[in-house]
Amino acid sequence: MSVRLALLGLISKKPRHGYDLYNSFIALVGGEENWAVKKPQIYTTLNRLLKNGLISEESVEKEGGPEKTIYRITSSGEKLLKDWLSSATPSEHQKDEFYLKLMITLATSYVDPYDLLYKQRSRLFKELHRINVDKLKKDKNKELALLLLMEQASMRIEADLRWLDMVEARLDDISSQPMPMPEAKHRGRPIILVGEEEEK
Amino acid sequence: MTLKLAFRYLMGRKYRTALTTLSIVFGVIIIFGMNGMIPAIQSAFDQSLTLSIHGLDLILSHELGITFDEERAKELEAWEGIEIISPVLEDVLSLGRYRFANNDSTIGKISINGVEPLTSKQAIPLSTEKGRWIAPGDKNVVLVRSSFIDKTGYQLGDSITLPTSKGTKKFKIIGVLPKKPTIGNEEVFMTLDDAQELFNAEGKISAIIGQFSDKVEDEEVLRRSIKDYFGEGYAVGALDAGGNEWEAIVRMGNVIFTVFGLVALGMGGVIMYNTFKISVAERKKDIGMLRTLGAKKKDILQIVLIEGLIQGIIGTLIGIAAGFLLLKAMIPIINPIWKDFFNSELGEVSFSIWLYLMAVIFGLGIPIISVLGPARKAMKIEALEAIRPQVGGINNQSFRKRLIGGLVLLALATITLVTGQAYLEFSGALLAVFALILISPSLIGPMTKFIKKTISLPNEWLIALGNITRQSKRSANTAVTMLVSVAIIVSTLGMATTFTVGLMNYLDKSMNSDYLILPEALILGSEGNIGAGDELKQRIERVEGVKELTAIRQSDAKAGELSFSMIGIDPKSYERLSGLTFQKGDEKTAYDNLMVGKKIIINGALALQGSYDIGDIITLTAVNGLVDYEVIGIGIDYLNSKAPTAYISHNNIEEDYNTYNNVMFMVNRQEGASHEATEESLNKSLEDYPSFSLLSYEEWRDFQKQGNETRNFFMYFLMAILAIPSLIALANNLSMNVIERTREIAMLRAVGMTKKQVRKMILSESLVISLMGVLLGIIGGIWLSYSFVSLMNVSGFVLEFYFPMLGLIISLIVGVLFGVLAAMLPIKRATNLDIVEAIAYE
Amino acid sequence: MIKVKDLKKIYGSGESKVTALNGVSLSIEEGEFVAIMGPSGCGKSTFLHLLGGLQKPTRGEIGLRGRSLSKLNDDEITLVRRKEIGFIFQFFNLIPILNAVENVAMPLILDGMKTKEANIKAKEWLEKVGLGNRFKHLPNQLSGGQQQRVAIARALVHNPAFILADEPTGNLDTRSAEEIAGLLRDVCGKWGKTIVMVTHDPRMSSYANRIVHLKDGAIISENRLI
Repeated sequence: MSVRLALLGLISKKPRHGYDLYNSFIALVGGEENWAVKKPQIYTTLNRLLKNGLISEESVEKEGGPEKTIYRITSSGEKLLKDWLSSATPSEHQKDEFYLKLMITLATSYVDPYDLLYKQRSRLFKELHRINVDKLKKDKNKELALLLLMEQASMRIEADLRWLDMVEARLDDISSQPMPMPEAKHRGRPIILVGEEEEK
Repeated sequence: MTLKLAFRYLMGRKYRTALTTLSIVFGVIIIFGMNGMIPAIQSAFDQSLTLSIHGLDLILSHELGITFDEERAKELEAWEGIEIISPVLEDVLSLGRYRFANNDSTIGKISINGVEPLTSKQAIPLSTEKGRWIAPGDKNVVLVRSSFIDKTGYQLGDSITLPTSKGTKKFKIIGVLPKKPTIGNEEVFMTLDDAQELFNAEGKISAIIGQFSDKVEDEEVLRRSIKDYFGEGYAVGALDAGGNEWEAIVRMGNVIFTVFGLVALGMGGVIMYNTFKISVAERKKDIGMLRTLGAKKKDILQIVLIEGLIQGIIGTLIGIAAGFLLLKAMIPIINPIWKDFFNSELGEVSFSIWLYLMAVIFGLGIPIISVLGPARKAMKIEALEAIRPQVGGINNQSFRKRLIGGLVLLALATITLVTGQAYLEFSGALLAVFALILISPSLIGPMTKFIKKTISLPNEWLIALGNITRQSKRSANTAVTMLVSVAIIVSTLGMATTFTVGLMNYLDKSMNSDYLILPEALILGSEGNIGAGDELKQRIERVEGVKELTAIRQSDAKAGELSFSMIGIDPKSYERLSGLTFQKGDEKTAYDNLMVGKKIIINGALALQGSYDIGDIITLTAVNGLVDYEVIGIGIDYLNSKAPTAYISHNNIEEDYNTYNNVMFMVNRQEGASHEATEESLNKSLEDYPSFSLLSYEEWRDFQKQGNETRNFFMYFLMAILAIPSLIALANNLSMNVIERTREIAMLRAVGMTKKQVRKMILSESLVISLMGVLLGIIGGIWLSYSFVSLMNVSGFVLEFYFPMLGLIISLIVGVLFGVLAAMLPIKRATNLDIVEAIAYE
Repeated sequence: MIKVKDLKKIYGSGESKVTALNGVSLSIEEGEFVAIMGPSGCGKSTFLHLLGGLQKPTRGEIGLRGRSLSKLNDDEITLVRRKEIGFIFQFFNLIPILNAVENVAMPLILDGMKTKEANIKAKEWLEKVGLGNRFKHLPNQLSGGQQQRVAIARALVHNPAFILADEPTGNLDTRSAEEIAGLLRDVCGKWGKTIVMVTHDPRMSSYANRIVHLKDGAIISENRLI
């Protein structure tokens, strides 16, 4: 969803063709490693945008080169973009894979939960190290946007690490408590607190 | 580097550094400046003692300055190697009413040189500027120095009036000699006969002068053989009669000034110790850091010691300079007063190399010693202190050891009180003061609790009391500085009161005469009291309304190396008119026994110095060699209570000391005779004796009281000198207290304490601490002065102890005043505090 | 190389006995940048103090370039610190009465170098840490980050092989902390020092090349980050 709207935003800034769009997006997120988007995914999204009448298509002939398709935003596209921009963004922190692993580990005891924890920590530290050291190489006078993005990533990992510390300190207590179980009376969908908009 | 660091640290705490340095300055000023005065005083005494004729090969005189037979000069005439010999009678004449006064100078005393006309012309290497030398057959003529002419305006050929032992007499100036080479008494030369008449010393001389022939190879050998020939008591060289006594006084002055200086410096030491202790505690982190950077323990020790040394050096330099300037400025002010008292001029102040050395040794030594402790503590600070977070906690120091030690000492001190042994008592008093110092921290807690319970106080006071309790040791240290100074104040005033009240009581008890006729210089034994022969005595006896009188004579005396004053009394009349207060011996028989043979009564001071007792034989150096006297009593009279003195009969003082002159008369009125009439006729009979004045007993008593007050004033002066450093210490400690709590005070300010409340809090802290010091100081001071009076009593000067009420009041006032003064700066600091900055610190 | 073997440190005795370190063994190669992490009370500060010879271990061995610290007396350890170790602390611990140059020059001067020479070196290092324009400033005239830079210059000026840092950014804002972190990476990467840094801040330790986790006085895990 957000990739779709971001592409729409990039097109709104300046009409462009698919390849240009891909490069611009990757630059925006600071590289493929940060937000892996495949080129075919870009084209699928563009098609969907076209179908929904959010962008329009025109062909431009380049001098001496092959013909390229240039995309331009429509007025309904602009409206959608504005709606998106003027609304707050929900965070996405509940769906944590490590949490699930840990709970299952505690339930199954296939592996040592501490080992799991340390492995996770080690991985997070490596990621953090990479981002932070990378950050040192950036020029804050030219690449501030990117720096901020990296900062966000780094801060999230930091938060995760702190959370891991907390888990480590209380791991024994958690394992002594029963696992969260569905309440007997309640049936149906599990409760999701926020961020339930799903992309389908 | 260590030097740079030390300097920076000192400069970083300018106010504190200035305060501590000031305390060193003070001590050095006292040691250096006051002792610098001694040579000036000494030279003043020397002037009046040294015969100023230079170029004489021989001056032979008696050690005691007493006269001897003029016939003895003849014994030397045929001596081999002697070319010329001449007898001289030299003495100082006090002019009294007949002083020569001009616009800008007065001459109150002159030195009379009676010379033999013929031989003296050859013997004395002086030539007249105008007129002529004395010729045989001359009578009532004098030669004076040109400086005398300059000062008085008299001219050659004029007549001057001089008092003599037989009334006043006119002398014609027949010659003028060159200006005197040294400052001192003006010299007047006259015939030996005239001089002997003037001093009532028929056939007596005080010195033999002479010149050796050129053939003499070793003059020293010749002088020694002459001295040996004349025997015990004679001295060759300059006249040094009585010099020993003055020397002893001067030496004593030296010791007193040095002791006071040391006490002041000691106070300075305590101040420095406190300051550095705090400074080291504050710098824990810095020092720890230096250690982590690789500073060795030795380096840290050095830094702190150098800081102390720098302060010592600066303090000593300033002290020396200030002492020097102070003295230079003081001499012109003191000199006129001095001249009035002693008729000699103060010499130049001079600072011997020893004095500089002493000032430097103490001025540097005491700071270093007092810094040593804190420096060693600094040395022990571990590198880790730099990193450890500083936790400001309540100081739960334990003072148990100190308390126990203090109580033990206090018990010991109390026991000494029961012994009745003055020396023990005195050391006990010192112990007691020390014990109070030890106990003081332990008293803080109970005291603050007591105050809180008994008085309902405003909140600032409660906070202040809390602060005091938390910093028991610091508060106690501050209180101790107050304690010491109050102890000094109270004990000084205690002694002063005791002396004044005691002496007056004593005087009233021991003096039974209505009038006293005595020379201007009231101290017996001071030179220049020409005295008067028995003629005056007879004259007074004949005065209408006089019932009886007693005459007193005086001479310097020596027993072995011990110098003292010899008083000649007429036992019968003395007993009735004045009388000694006997400590030992039988009062009833003692006076009668004094008349028979060589018997002597000595006073307590002499008994103590020579450790003599009743029945002992004292061998005295007399005019004709050694004479043995038996001690038959120990007693004192008021006039001579403090100096070692002995009493013998008139006969004996004539025989052994050639003393025929009376220096003082005590007179009783007949019953029914009118006071005014008697006084008038007495004055009339004294007209020819200008050096004597008549005083009624009451007048004289007032005079004594005044003198006593002057003495006390000196004590007060010294007291003030000691009290000022303690103010510095108090201010210093208090401000440390505030500086250390900067953050805490800022917190209080932040949570809503007003400046006014801060002011109140600090002020009340200061007051409580200083009052506690005052209370303890009063206890110590009374104890000290009591034991000091007992100690005085042992020296034969018995006084009852009087409670120094005035001292208590003054101490309380001083305590409050100092408390307020000392709080001023810390208050300023605390109220001007930038709250945000103070809290943000670290 | 630092080689630590079975290091134990016990504070107090009897009832109030606290075991700060309970048998830690670790070796650190020269040129490494190691972060020691752990919750407060895990013994990480004690570990650093022992490494720097600021405290003596109750038991165990610390080998610094083949020399055993436990066999040295106070003065000898002081000399080791003076020559081979540079310290960086949380509260910078600059001497407040000395300016930047003088603070930095201090280790050299303590080692007997002439003041003039020492000041030249100090200035060089201040320039390297980016304080070329703050020579004469007193610590209280500098920002926290600048003070820590001075402290780093001071830790490096005598060319020690090892830098021991105790929460070097604990008292700094994020921005300054980042700069200090970058500087520390330079210290290790550019100037080839071995850094042992104690911190509880994951961000700070992520700049290291290796992280050692302590818990209750023992190593629980070690991560190489590259």
